[in-house]
Order: sequence, then C-alpha cells, then structure tokens
Amino acid sequence: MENLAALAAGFAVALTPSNLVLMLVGVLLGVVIGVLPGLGGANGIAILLPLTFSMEPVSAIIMLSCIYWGALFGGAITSILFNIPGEPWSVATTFDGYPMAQKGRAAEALVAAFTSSFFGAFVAIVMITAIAPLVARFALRFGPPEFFAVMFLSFAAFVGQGRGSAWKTIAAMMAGFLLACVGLDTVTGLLRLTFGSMELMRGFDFLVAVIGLFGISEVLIAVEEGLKFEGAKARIDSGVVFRVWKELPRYAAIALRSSFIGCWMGVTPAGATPASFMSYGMARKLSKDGAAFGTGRIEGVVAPEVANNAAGVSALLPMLALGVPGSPTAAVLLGGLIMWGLQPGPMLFVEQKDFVWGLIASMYLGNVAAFLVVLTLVPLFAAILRIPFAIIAPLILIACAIGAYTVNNAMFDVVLMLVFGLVGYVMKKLDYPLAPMVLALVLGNRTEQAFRQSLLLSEGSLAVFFHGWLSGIIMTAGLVLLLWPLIGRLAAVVRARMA
Amino acid sequence: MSEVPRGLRARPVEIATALAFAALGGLAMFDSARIGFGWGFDGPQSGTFPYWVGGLLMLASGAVLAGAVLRRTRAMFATNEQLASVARVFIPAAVYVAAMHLVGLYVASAGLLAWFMIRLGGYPWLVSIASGIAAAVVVFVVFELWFLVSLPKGPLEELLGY
Repeated sequence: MENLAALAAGFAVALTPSNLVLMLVGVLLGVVIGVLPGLGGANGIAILLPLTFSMEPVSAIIMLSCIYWGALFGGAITSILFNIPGEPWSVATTFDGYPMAQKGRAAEALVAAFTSSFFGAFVAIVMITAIAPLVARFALRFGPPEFFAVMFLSFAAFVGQGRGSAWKTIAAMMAGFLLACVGLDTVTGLLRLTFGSMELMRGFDFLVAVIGLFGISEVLIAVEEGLKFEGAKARIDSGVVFRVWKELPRYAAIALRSSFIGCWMGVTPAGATPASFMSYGMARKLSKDGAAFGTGRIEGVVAPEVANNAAGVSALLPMLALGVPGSPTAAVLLGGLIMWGLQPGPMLFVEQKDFVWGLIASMYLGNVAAFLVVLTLVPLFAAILRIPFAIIAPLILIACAIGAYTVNNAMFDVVLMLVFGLVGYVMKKLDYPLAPMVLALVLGNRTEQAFRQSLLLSEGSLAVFFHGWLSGIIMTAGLVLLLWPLIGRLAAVVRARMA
Repeated sequence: MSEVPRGLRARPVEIATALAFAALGGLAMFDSARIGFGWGFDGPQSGTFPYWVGGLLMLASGAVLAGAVLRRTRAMFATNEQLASVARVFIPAAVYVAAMHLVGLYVASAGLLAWFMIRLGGYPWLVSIASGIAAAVVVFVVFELWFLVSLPKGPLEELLGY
C-alpha cells in the first residue's frame, strides 16, 4: 500500500502539462528512431542526452525513457511491413509478421504486435512497481563486496547466456573495462593508459562509444546489405482493431508466458533480443501446429512482441534499484542519472522519491501514449522508410556527429565516434557482442571501486567476496553462470558416454 | 566454382582482430606494471584492476586466436562489392569529420548531404546543394537558436557574424 501512495505521488509529478508534452515528444521521436535503421534506442538517447543537461532530472528522464518505449514499439512496424527489423529485438517478429503482411493482413499483424507490446510492457511496469522498492530496500544492506558480486553476476550472465563464443564475450567485456580505466584514476590521482596523450586524459566517454558502436556501425552494416525498401502498405481502422482484440484473448497463455520470459531476461542482463527469440521458440514448440509458424501465424507475432517489450521495460528494474543496468539503453539512461547529479543505486528510492516514482508513473503513461501513437500514425511512420537511403544515411551521420560533439564540446570525440563505428562494424561482422562492452564501459569505474573497497576491507584477500553469506551466494551464482557453457559441454560429453 | 564471389575472407580478419585485442591487453598490462599493480600503503595500487583485466583480455583473445588459426573455413567477411559500398559511405564520413575541423559542422554537413544525394541518390546538382544548405540551416536554428548549443563553426559563420 505504501507503494501505491508513492505511485500516486509519482503521477502528480508526471502529470504536469510540460511533462506530458515531453512524454509525447519522446514517444514520437522514439518511434521514428525505432523505425530508422542505424538509429536505435541506445544511441538515439545517447545523441539527445547532452540536450537535457539543463532540464529537471525528472523531466529529462521522462522524455528519454519515452524515447525508449517508442523505439520498443516502433521496431515492430518495419519488421512487419518491410521485413527489416528496425531493432535487433524485432528480428523474431519478422518471422510471422512479414508473411502476414504479404497475405494482405498487415493491419492485423500490426494491431496484434502493438497490443502485445503494450501487454508485455504493462506486466513489466507492474512488476517494477511492486518489486523495485523491495529490491532497493534489500540492497540498502549491501556493502562493497555485495555490489561487486552483483556486478560480477551481471557480467557472468552475459558469458553464460550469450549465444555466441564465450571467449569473444569476455574479450569484448574486458576491452570495455579497459576503456573505462583510461584517464585519471580518481582514487590515487595517477594517469592510467593515456600514454602521454592530452586527449585521452579525459578518458573515453561512453556516450561517444555508444553513438559510434551502435549508430555509425549500424549504418555501415545497412549499406552493406544494400537496403531496398519494398514494403506493404497498411492503414489501421477501428474495424481491424476490434476484430483483432476479439481474437487476442485466445493467446492469453502465450502472452503470459512470454511476459514472464521477458521480465526474467530483462532483469538479468540477457536483454530483449534473446527474450524475443526464446519466447517465439517456446510458442512454436508448445503449439499444436508448430510447423505452421513462419507462414503468418498471429501467435508468432504475439510471442516475441510481448517478450521484447517486457524485457526492455524490466531492464530498468536493476538500473533503478541497484544501479546496474540490464541493457545498453538502460546503461545510457544510467549515464544520464550520473550527469544530472544523481547517485544511482538503492539510495535513489530513499533520497529521490519524486524522481523514482515520477519515472515509474511516466512508464504507465508513456506506454499508453506510445500505444495510441503507433496505432493511429502507422502510415506516417511507414512513409519515413520510403525516404531514399541517400538522404537518410547522411542525416543519421550528421545527427551522430552532433551528438558525439555535444557530449563534451570536443572535436576529438567526433573522430573517436568514427573509429568506434569502424570497430563496431568489424566486431558485429565477427559476432563479438557489443552490449557487454558498453555495459563494462559504463560500469567499469563503479565495479573497480567496489573491488578496491572490498579488498581494503580484507587487506587484499580475495576471500572477502565469500565471507558474507549474501555476497557468497551471489558470487557462487555468478560463477555457475560464468562456467555454464563449460558445464553444458561436459554434460553433453557425459551423456554421449552413457549412451 | 566461378560463382564464388571475390572478397575478404573471415579468417584473416578474425586473426587480426584477436591479435589487436591481445595487443590492447598487453599494452594495458605494460602500462599498469609501470604504475604498480601490487598492494600499496593505502590499498590496491592504481594498476591492479587494469593489470588483471588486461591479462584476461589477452587470455580471451588468445583463445579466440587459437580457434581462428585451427579452424580453416572459407567463410567470407565481406565480398568486394559489399566492401565497396561500405567504403562509399565510410570515406565521405571520414572526409566529413576531417572537414569539420576546417570549415565547421554546418558547411561540412551541407556538403555531406549534397554529396550523398548527387553520388548515391542521382539527384540533380541544384536540388542536392539546396537540400544540403536547407538541412544546415535547420540544424542551426534548432541547436544554435532554440537549444543554445554551440556547434563547431568555421570561416563562413565568422563572416556572417557568429
């Protein structure tokens, strides 16, 4: 009940006219960002973050998080109409969404996708409202060893749950940690890894890295694939909406299951993309006629869309309650908190009640706004994709350059952005995951700080992480996750011997 | 087998990337050793964390390297055609960033948009250049006048009194 009172206060914060306008602006921008290849939630927010420095933190986070919701919704539009996933987490939506569009059922697919997205997001927001304060209260007891253990668990989850090579995940992650170390060590005042360069003294700003790694590289990948947009047309009228809504309750079981998968994968940093694949796979496996999936089944749209929005939203839970973001976009938002002068972590729920609950209330409102916006404005957003690449690509490049420059008003950052773009392109082509690298870059300093403080407590003994029962449990869980690929392989060998 | 497209194979790129990561790890260990990675009088020294992170990076990239060297595949990194289209975007982008140092962001952006429209879009010169200038003016109004964010400027803006 205490939560409900806090939430009501949050609504009072979020429901001011200026915040409502920002919400709408954020959602509209977000859908556009989600529709355009080369601009995604993470780098779209990274580009706009410097413009919010002078805003109230609550208003700033409301606008930026609404961009995120918009992008989560917008990804489905291009997947269904053009067979081009605007965001990686919408790839699974193309499997059945595009065939539906080809059969002339684009409007139905879109309504199903939007409604499912809304459902997934809503479940996740309710979960955040109920659980985040408890997690935060629990985490107030955390000391440095526990915080390090939580970080360790998050990063270990990337290795254990990643789909590619575990070594590549570790390499990308360590590269991110090293980038975070560059510059002035605030504890001892020594310069690290700068090799005498003045430009490197400031260190690498993760916003610049995000814009390069996710923005520039995405444009390069897009041209390589030779983008040709030949899409289906769609108009959504109220008749279609009500027909689909009448049909959807039949898939309630799928939707519930997918939202659990989404919430779980979103809280652990596995993220929205694997969540959407997993719930699509589950829906196909458990369906009576799974073979018909991929030919334009409406369940095939519902499952991934519920899961990816649930995961995308619940990625904010660990970010708010623990200060450990669950996705690259949540990481960028966390970077925003630090820039606005807020200290991320469990104390946020104690010291910044207005901020936290204003944000949570805005999640409810923002997702309703996003839902209505996409339902009514689909033709407009689809038209954006018909703008030729020769015009869109340079505009995205210009937006990225402005974003990178405004972070620190430094020309060097624009050059860095370009370098990160090329690095990101090569890494993507070789299946190095970018998300752990960005998260390591964002969390590097705080991970190191927790590590140092823990060692200070124990005077240098690594056993400190297993002294407390809490950190011990979290560390053990982390180790199990870390070694999961190895355990899986061993089990397979044993099973092969037995057979 | 004349159908096989020519291009860059994945294996050499894989090996080069792993070597680059390993070198980065080695560099970090070297620099951390310089500032100390042991136990100082006030706790772990500055180099401790990057030293071990660098070590893990070398270990991981070593494993990737071994895998790439041992596994012979003919998989493609990108065909020549794909590399050419990437270059058609990346080279103008690099020139754009370089030009920004000289003429400022606005003129460079106008040039970038015009170049793309003429070379990749096949639009008439006049339309392309006009679009470039229009885009630069819009950016100027939004950032310089609305948001009061100052972006890099060059001689032209100086001439106009900014």
